[in-house]
Amino acid sequence: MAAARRVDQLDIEFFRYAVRSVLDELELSLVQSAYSPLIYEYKDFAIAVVSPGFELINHSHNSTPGFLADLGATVADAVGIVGADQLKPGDAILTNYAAVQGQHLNNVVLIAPIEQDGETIVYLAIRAHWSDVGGMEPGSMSWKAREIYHEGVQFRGLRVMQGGRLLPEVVATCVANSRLEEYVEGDLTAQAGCSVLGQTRWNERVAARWDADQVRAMWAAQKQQSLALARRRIEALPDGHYTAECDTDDSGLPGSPRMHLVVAIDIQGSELTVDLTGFPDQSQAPINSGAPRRYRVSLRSIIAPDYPIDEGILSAVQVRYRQGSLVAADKGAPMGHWNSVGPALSDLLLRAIGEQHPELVPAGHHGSMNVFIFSGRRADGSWWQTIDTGGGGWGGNAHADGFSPLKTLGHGDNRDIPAELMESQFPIRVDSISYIPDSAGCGQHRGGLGVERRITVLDDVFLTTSMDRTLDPPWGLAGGGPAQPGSVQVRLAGTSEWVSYTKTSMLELTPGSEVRLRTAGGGGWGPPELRDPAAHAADVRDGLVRS
Amino acid sequence: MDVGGTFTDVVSVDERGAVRIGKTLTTPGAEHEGVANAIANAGVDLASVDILVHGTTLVINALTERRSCRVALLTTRGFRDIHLMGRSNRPQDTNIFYRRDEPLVPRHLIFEVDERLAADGTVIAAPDLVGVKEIAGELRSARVDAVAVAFLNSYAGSANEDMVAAAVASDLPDVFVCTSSSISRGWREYERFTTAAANAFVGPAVHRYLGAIGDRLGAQGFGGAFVVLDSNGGALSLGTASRLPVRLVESGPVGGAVASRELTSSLEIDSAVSFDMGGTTAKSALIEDGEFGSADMYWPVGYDTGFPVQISCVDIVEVGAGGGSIAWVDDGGRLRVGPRSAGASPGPACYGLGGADVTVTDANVVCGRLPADYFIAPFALRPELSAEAVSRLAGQLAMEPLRLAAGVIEMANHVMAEVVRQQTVVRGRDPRRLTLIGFGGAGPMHACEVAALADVPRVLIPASPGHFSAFGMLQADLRYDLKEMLHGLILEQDLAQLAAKIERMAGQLARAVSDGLEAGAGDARELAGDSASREDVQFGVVFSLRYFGQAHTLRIPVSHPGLALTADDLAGLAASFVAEHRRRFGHVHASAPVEVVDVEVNVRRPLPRSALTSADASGYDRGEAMAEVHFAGNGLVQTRIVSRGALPEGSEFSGPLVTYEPGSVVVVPPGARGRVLAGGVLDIDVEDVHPSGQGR
Repeated sequence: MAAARRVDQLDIEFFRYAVRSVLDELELSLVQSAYSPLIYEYKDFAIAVVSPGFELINHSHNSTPGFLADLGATVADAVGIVGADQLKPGDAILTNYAAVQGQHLNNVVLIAPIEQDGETIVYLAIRAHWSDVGGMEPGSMSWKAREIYHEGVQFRGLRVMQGGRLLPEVVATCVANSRLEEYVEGDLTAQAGCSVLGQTRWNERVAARWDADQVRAMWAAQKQQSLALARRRIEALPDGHYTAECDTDDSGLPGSPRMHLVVAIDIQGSELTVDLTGFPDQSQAPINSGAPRRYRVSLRSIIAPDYPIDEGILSAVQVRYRQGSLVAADKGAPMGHWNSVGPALSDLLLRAIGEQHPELVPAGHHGSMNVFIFSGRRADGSWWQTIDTGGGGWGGNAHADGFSPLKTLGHGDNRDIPAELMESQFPIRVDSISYIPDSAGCGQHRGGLGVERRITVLDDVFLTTSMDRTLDPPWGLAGGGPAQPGSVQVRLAGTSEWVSYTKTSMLELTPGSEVRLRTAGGGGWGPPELRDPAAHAADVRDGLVRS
Repeated sequence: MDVGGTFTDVVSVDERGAVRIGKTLTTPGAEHEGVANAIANAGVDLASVDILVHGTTLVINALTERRSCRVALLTTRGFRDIHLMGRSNRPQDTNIFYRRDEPLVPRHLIFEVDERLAADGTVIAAPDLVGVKEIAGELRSARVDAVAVAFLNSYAGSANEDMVAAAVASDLPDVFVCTSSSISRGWREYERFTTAAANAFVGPAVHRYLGAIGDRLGAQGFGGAFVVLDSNGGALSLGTASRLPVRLVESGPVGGAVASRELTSSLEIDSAVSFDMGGTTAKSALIEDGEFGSADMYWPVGYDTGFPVQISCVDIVEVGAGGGSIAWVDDGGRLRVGPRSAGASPGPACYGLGGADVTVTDANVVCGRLPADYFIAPFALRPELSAEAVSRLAGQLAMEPLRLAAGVIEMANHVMAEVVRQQTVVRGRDPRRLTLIGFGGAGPMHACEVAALADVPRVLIPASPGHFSAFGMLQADLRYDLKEMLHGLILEQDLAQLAAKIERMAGQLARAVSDGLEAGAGDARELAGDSASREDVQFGVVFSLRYFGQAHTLRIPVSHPGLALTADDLAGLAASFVAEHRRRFGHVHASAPVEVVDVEVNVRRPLPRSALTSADASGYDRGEAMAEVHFAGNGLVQTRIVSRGALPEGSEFSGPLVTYEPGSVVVVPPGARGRVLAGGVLDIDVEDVHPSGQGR
């Protein structure tokens, strides 16, 4: 590229392409070599590069969106602790420092400098959910936690690799702080392996083609283009003040009342502000989170569904919040179930738009993480654990019925753990996984159905759950009806009564005990009387709707 | 014989290696007529044919177009909705209106059976056959054409499925019945249930179709062996293909992979990638030491909203980039290429059929890489239409037209280099040790630059690149494989038990590769030989291994052919696994033991084949010329344009050079140097090619 010529469209596109292809390859490598099903099946991770100024440049295809928008600040903090000049090629550091990343401690970011022409050109950041980082209970997500220190070990810029070599004493220390030793060792090794590969691929596909100055010029041009696009898309939305609210369940503190969530969106010209100041105060229970600027990403599906997330896209959206609230909790607040109200928050933002422009969004979805964790001890005393989140119904929309099951708005290509995997590895029998008839909101386009999952445990097993939104059901839109909310119930062996446990930790189940997890359906869209009679007849024929 | 969506191609080779080619329009619904026509068209006497190999896109088309039959699914009580649900994932993570495609079987045709297996295959509850009888009655009144039986945990034991399938078959003798465990022994219920449903979905049509072709050919005096190309690159007997038709899902495109393997074997090349580029897609497969890179899952209509088929197949990575891919500018001002394609109609602008968009083909025309005067096809190109389209798009971006055209080609090349890369670096293979084989209508035009982008130093362009896939079908071996799950650490396997299992599987396989041939007459019986003597039959054993607790497995073959297995072999497998893990992922887990997940036994019986001689070059020579051609890395360069037939065997050439022949053009960029090998294969060194617009 002649130095004199300005960066044009082709340069930007080739740069985007080169960086994305590196990150996508790292993603494949991570998925194939990771140990924990949370990574290889569920894909609870993000892989991204951020600039030396800590701006998000690009991410791998399946990166969890909620893991990306705060990554710059998280990398900045950890690099700041170590000192940017102390990081050399082949080095990697770890961070999960809650006061900055504002997520549960399980989400551990491995950060590696990528060098070009003798300087750090970008930081590679690989955030992955570690199965256990210590704390009160296996999985590190105890509902009994009242401060972050109950939830496990914190790393803040901990050097784990130097000159391409893992530091055995650091790996051993990480492992020593986890109940699930082989998972943590395997996943950490996989993350570190990715960072080494990352430098190699950067050399081959980026540095071999452009020098550091050119890389910076192209990144600046890309950011500008992304920002301009986001602004143009925002401008196309009608100006206005949009609000929405709903109730969610209790905080998980025994006897605590249901909470009320309020969001607002202000759109004026090309400015968009997400207002979360109406969120409740932070809780003693572990449903807090921090880094609320992450919600810059939450309207991405409307603003820029066809672009990778980068700092340009993110900087088109502002977030207003209140320090000390549920989404901007103070240092020390417990965060084990940090994303508990996240799905409701995202859904409310869509609802706010939808109340005035229902063709732009679907009706309400099940809106809950629906976490269920089984764990137990093997004969040798070591822990086993399986985590999943139950999919439920999504709302109907202007085009079609809502689909089911899907996980939440915050999820993407995250797959359920198959029953056959669970049964072969753990003392668990899956009795059924079925649609719940009549559980969807009615409408011209009905919602997706809720799903019932019945499981019997065959040994002494512990159950941890997290379900929300069981009191205020998923809403209809444009005249559609609400859906049936979800529930988690347990029938202990030898008893006949089903008892509700929507937010419970390490509930002891004796062999033969049954668990019944029901997810909510999705809300309906449009007046039910406009529903195509043939579609209704097909639902009745299929037994999805009883009348 | 290749029955595609549009054309039916027949290629015949006689014992002297002489090639005959026949091409007719496919006759949908009565494909056997098209086949007979094409054979007649090729001037082949059916009575003289020893062996007929068939590749077909019938299965993939039936699955993508959903034209088939009424299918019912019988499954374990409690799991009726698994096939309808998928895995709760949303591959399009920004799409808030996401839906998966409609399921193959609607809910009212999914029936639950009382039965249960434990995860290790132990029968907890035998099937309730009284209930099955009632279901069979309902199936009769619902007039279903096919039934899939798919039970939870059946990957570990087929007893319950077999019992129910037999009961249904005896009650409904005219209905196609299959079980999930007969197709796949892989775990993951959604994937396996859906595979069984897909098999049932295409079963009746394939059964009818293969029967009709057999009858029609028989009536014309054909008495040889008739086999069908399997997705794993082998050939299946008619009996097996009729039982497990979903295995034919890649039967069409796999021909190119087989041909690539044969070409690399004949040149003693260890590792290669195929690069097959057509109008709408580019496909690539890896070949190492005569074996294909394999996969155990295939998504016939794509991953995002489609369904999986869990079969062992050649890992053909496909991307939506081809000659017809359209370049466009989105509302953010980004230049994009594909995935939309102009297809055959209206086609690229230069076809003059009303297409106004810039396609990759148009960009090639504008750059002079596809010289209209030397394009040998039934219709003429109109380069002025390409130029108009490119100027229009360039105006939108305030870019010089030639830079845009070269950029469009390079963007397509990047997308295609990615599929090559997915075959190599993702497996930890050093691309610098590979050879890329370019074919398909558009492959030879892009192969050198795609190889250079993917760091592959050597390119081969076979003779008649447009027919290369069909040639591949003539080079397939009879091949079949069985897989069974295993549990435990590799070093703790009971050798005697394992050997007995492998021997039993080998027995089943020996039958599978001989029954189809013995059904034929005359020469075919000779060819099949005595099934008791296994002399020409080669067995191989492959284990899927992983570190204890890991999920993804690596396929590790036993280092020698045959069925024998010793304790040394087991230790060798563990060592090979560790080496492969390091190679692929760059690290090993020193303290973790190696676990075995399944064992595959495969069998191969070579079919007779004839060497191909080079295609006849006469009849299309339009002479030689010099023209200005624009290359991304070099700008405008005076380039020689020559008939491919004019390059004699043994001669050397160097880029820039463009050769032409019927249906395709080979672009040899500046910096490339090559040689014409026996059979007219171009062997090109691309190490000094600059595939990118800007270098440092």
